Amino acid sequence: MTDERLLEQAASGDETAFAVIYERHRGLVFRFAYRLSQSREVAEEITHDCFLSLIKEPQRFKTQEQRASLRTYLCAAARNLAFKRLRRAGAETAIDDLSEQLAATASQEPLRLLLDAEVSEAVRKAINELPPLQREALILFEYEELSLAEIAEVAGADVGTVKSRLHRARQRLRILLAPYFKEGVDINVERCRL
Amino acid sequence: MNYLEENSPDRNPRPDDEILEDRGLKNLLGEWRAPEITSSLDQRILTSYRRQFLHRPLWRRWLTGSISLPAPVAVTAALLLCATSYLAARKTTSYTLESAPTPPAVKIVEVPVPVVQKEIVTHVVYKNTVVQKAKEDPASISPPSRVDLADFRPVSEIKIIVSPGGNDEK
Repeated sequence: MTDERLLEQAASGDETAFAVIYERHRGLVFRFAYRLSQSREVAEEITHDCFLSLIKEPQRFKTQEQRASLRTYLCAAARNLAFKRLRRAGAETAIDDLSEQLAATASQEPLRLLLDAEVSEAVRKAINELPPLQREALILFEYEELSLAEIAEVAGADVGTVKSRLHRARQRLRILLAPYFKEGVDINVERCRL
Repeated sequence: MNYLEENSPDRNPRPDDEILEDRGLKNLLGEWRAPEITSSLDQRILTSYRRQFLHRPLWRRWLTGSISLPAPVAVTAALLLCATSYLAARKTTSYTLESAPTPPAVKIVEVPVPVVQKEIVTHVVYKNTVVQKAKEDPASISPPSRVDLADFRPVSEIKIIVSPGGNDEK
């Protein structure tokens, strides 16, 4: 049964339909929220709010139904909730682009990254260093394997912009994670810095 | 905005094609795994869902409620409904046809009519001639005396005379 039909039934009180929708998309929403926020508690809150708002206002999805699938709609909802929390957290940094700041950070980061024993922790930290919009594009593309068009829907941007964000995110990650790349993998760090 | 402006390196630097297939980076990123969803979150979300519908007003539940039916059941129900409707319509039609020739209301009006009576008396008299003859001469109709064939002799010669007129007596 399609997500749209299940959502109709869930919105009219069919708990089984809701459980099916939740089962299908909970992993995606939770992982995306977790990687954006880097906090389990926040990710759980976002996942909870995301699904509940879907049931409270299913018409908001229906109005976008022509162009969006439920999973991109849920990702967009999770993204908005995550960014709202980031803003509320008092992050003075602009969400869009931190390239200037990152250039300074990148020069200081390799030493700290080298000290991190856990590669996983290093990756987490490196991703956390990315500006939210780049982080979002990278997470959806690399971890959740959404297409560029789907990411563009989630982010409300065009595909070219998404590609650009993805490109910049990768450049920065190559810099931040340079010590962890295997030998022989030339990441052209210098070229990226230029 | 035209294509060149939108894709100019200053505004929107395009990634190289090969960056979409960056295996080394992808493998490294794969080292960071997200935690699994806990069952407590599942429970919490389902509880919130139920609570939402418990507090929903009844009229709204009626208005927005829906019933899901398996397709075979729905088709069978639809066919039954169609058949019942058809039969009901047919019965109504035949009733109309039967009820059409109902006689109009009879109104009896008495009209005085002058009666002209004419009495015709017919009397038939049958005459029984045999009885009358018997009354007049009882001996003539007495039964014949006994026939004795003792002296009967057949004739030597028979002369047949055919006389016209049938049974008429002459």
